[in-house]
Amino acid sequence: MIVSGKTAVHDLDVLIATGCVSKVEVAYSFGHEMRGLSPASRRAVESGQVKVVSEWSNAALQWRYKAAAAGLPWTPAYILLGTDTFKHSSALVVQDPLTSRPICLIPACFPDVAIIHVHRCDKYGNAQIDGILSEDFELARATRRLIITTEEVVPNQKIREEPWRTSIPYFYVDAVVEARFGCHPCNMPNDYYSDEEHMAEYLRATKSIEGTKEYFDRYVYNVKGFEEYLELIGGIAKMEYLRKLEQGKERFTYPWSQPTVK
Amino acid sequence: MMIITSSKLLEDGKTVFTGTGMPILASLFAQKTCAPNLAIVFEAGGMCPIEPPTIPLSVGDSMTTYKAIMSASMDYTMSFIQAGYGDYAFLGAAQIDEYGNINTTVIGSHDKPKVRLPGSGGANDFGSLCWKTIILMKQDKKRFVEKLDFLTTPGYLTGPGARERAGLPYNTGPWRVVTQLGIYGFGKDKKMMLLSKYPGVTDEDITTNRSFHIKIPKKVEFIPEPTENELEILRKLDPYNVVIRK
Repeated sequence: MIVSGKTAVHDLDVLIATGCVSKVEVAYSFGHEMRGLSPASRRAVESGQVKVVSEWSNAALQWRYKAAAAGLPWTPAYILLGTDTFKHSSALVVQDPLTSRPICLIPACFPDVAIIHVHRCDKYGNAQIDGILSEDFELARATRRLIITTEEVVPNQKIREEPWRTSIPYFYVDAVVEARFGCHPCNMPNDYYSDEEHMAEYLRATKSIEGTKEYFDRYVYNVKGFEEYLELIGGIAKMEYLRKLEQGKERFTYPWSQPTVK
Repeated sequence: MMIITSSKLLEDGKTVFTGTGMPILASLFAQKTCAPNLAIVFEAGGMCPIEPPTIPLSVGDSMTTYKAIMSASMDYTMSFIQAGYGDYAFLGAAQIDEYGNINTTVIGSHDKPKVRLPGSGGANDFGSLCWKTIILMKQDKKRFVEKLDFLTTPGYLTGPGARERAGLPYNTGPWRVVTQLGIYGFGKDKKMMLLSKYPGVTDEDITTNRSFHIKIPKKVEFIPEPTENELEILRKLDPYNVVIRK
């Protein structure tokens, strides 16, 4: 599998750690933001198990989807120019016929499959996202196959009451999966915050190959379904805590961070 | 110290695009002190949050929209800076060269990396499109290098005029580099030069912690030490010590 690694954090790392990924097109990958670099991804890339086939920037991958969404071959932009990031991408520099200045052409990207998790959608896939959209708005239209996973399936009537809230209409959607708390251990804006205790456990476990295997045996392979997974990570009590955290009603913890004396 | 120093570079009423970590905290600190009307924008779409209860862990964290004016998208924010609305870019880096070009992609060769880093993220876009780029990083011989292992984000590339020849927007580029030793700017030759330093830092400290020539003017101002009050404000902004302890 080849992954388009745009602001890819936990999602990509889980796929790499389980050996599902052979190649990555990188804009932001192999990192866990403030939590540091991802041990499993680093191991895979530095050993050659996973190949980096190209380098991009976040805007570049964003605009690759934008071109695809509009059915165009490329998006023109003033990025990547003059850098090694450009040399390792498949973008082109041409002379702009209107201004005579060099301009970068960012080729369209049509992924085979995209999975987007949303706050709610109806059974047809008309989906609402509360909060920032990042690339979802364009990616949903660029991909050949789109799977929507949702916190809640609502009646079509509810979508029609506030049509301005729909960011992905059903035309693009191939499948809908209802998965309450399906974003765990990541952050679902306005609903629940990221589970930093679980992230810390994951990052600790994936430091070694054995630890990685144990983690996925425990949380994925030996688990019958998503409900059992939720029980394992702390059940409803844990999700209630993460909901309160998102509302700013609980204390935050950052167990992956090693305190140093200053 | 670096956080407080770099925050003072931000002028009130401007927009700043920030990367994860110290740059976020510095921007929030500026908002609380010298630049109350600073508009902090996050690439994933968070526009102008104020006083989040904790530091956003990433540029897409829900803290990036805390009391914000808009939840936008990345196409929106990146188009915003391409159209000239990004006053400051605020970045970190693993390596920098004398022209302010930076590397956040790989240490060692690209094919056989010694350390694989996350890549550009939004850095190339910010560094290409924002008017003034501020780089916040630790300074030593391995980070201030003669030749980058990988040129992720453009500084002044190979010197005067090179950005424009490559097609990057006119009059943009790296503006300040803030390290644990001092603040650097760029001269007419687009090479890094010392502007000011912390009390107690000697010229030798500067020269032993770099692998390329840095012009050191005869008279260099000292950066004032952070006051107790400033440190207090900083601690309140990062109550859980997520960034400060790094």
